This record gives sequence, C-alpha cells and structure tokens, in this order.
Amino acid sequence: MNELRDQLREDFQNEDARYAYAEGFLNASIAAQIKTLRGEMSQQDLADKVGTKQSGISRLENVGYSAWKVETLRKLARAFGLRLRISFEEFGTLIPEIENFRKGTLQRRRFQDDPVFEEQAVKEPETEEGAVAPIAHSGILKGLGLRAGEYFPESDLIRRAMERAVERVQSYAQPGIAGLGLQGISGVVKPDIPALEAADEAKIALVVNIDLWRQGALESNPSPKTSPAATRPLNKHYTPLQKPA
Amino acid sequence: MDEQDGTFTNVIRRWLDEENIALSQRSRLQLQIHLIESGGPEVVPGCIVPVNEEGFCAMNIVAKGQTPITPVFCYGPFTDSEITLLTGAPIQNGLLRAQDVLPIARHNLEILIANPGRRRRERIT
Repeated sequence: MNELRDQLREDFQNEDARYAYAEGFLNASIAAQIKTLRGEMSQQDLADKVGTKQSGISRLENVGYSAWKVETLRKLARAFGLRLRISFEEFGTLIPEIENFRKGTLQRRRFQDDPVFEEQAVKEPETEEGAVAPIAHSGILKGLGLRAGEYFPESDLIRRAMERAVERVQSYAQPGIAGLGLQGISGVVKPDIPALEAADEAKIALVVNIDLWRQGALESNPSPKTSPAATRPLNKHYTPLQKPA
Repeated sequence: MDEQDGTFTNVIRRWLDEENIALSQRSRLQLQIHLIESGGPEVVPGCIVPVNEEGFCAMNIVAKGQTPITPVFCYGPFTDSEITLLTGAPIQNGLLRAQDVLPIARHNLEILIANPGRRRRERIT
C-alpha cells in the first residue's frame, strides 16, 4: 500500500499529526484486541475475572478511550492467558500494522493452546467434583476429539475414551486370539465397560493407549507406551497385541 | 469514499475546514478510515454510532481537549465492502446532533447514486 506510505510520509512531517495518529492507533489496538480476545465471553464475565466493573470493560473496548492503566492491562493479559508486551517503536512500523489490522491478526493463543508449550501444558487435576484436569498428550487429545485446556465432565471423558477404545479393539481385531488387557488405566475403568465387553466378544486382546488415568484425570505421558507398573491386567490371558500389518 | 459537491469540493474536507478542525483531529479521523479500510467496521469498536433505521451512521472521533468530529456515513451504496462519508455532524453541549444533518446526508446520497462519478477516494488530512 504505497498510497498509505506516501500519505503518512507527508502527514507525519507535522509532529502533532503523527503523535495523534500513533496514539490513536495504540488506543484502537488495545480496544480492538480486548474485544477480539474476549470473543464469546461477556463483558461482565471478563470484568469479574479482572476485578472491575462491566462498564470498565466497555470503556476499554472503545477506540476513543485513552485512560487505560498498565496494571489493568496486566490483569487482562492474565485473564486471557497471555503476556503483556509494551515497547517503544519507530513510526515506520505503523504502516504494516495498519495494513494488517484485522480481527485475525489481533487474535492470540492462550498459553494452554500455544504449541510451543503443548507438551508441558498440564495442570493439576481440578478439585471440583465432576471436572477433570486439562490433558496434554496430543495423541490423546486428537484421539478423544478434545482440545488442550478444555474441561469435560468426568463421565463424558470416560465415555469418549471408551468409544475410542471400542474403535481400537475393532481395528486390532484378529480371529482366534483370546486375552484382554488394558494399558495404563487405573482406578476408573471397570471390567463391565463397553470396551471390555466388545473385546471379550471379539475374543481379542485390548490395548488402549490412553496412558495414565488416575483419579479421574488424564496425565501427560510423552510415550505412547505405558510403564509396566501402570499396566493393570484384567484377565489372566492378558496378551498385548501388535496392530496387524 | 467522500461525496463531492457540484463544484467538486470534497464535502468532508470542506466541513472540517468550516469547523476549523485541527490537523491532529483530522489525523485521528484519517486513522479510523485507514483501520476500517484494513479490517472493516468491527475493528474500531465504539467508534461507529448508528444514527437511524435508514442505515446512516456516524463516526465518533474524540480526544481529550479536542473538538469531537462526527462525519455521517452510509454503508455502500454501490458495493457491500465500502462506506461513503456524506456530511459532518456538529456536537453541541456534548450531544451528537447527527439527526440535524440527516436531510443533508440523504440529499448527498441521492445525488451520489444518480452521479457515481461524484465520489472519490481522497485523503482528508
């Protein structure tokens, strides 16, 4: 957009004009990004998270508002799962920032969704009844159709895991093989679950790589294999299977 | 896009001149126009105020210690991805008087629809 560059080159010769433009852009960036990052969350919910009033969030989301405080922005950054960056910039960098100013470029990933930290993004299990901790193993997440950082009722997670387990049993099915085993499941899964029934019916071994599942929470496990200590044979004929070629 | 009058004077620039609007305020208005061009009206929350059910809106450009400026515009009228600044509205005693200038906005829009060539994409600084 050479036209923009040409115009700003001329306009910015006036000091008042260039600072008005740059400061207006800063205010607009803050307002637009807060609104974008808030997404579906209500202003009241965001206000509750940062300890302010809904009207305060409404003001911050107005491009004409300039009395924001760094401390408030710091709290907002934390509420969004992001870091706050403040830096001094050259005027020339405004041009690409203006050209790329749209909702998509204002969006940021929360820490839990940041691929750089995906493997480490494990939280302690929630103590709240009926909730489970976010799970980090990308294979598990993909397998169960979940996203890192999302919370699910424990029953829903078990159901998803078992549906996945049934699929795996079916994909591993080999005629004439008896035996049953679950890898890495402890404490939660009972022998009467649909997956075990399906495996039993198919007379095959069940190998479910849903890793370490303890007390309702799935934990990270970088390896798809679970340790022998975590293995809980449910059948004396336990025979782990290799997926057929 | 700014509507031009019969003498091919940019009506928005003329209004800014008549109101004696400082360059810094024009610069703020120009910024909002650039941002809307880049990301659409949703990227300038709080800046756009609906004026009536006909679809006329106003931009609200405010800055501490400066005269607020409020150009009235409409979406279109020729494509979905454009807006057209039609006239300016005064603010008196802190109240936007966009209703007062709606007849002018309507008139300018009618002229523009009849004469699309009267519209130009021009800077207002």
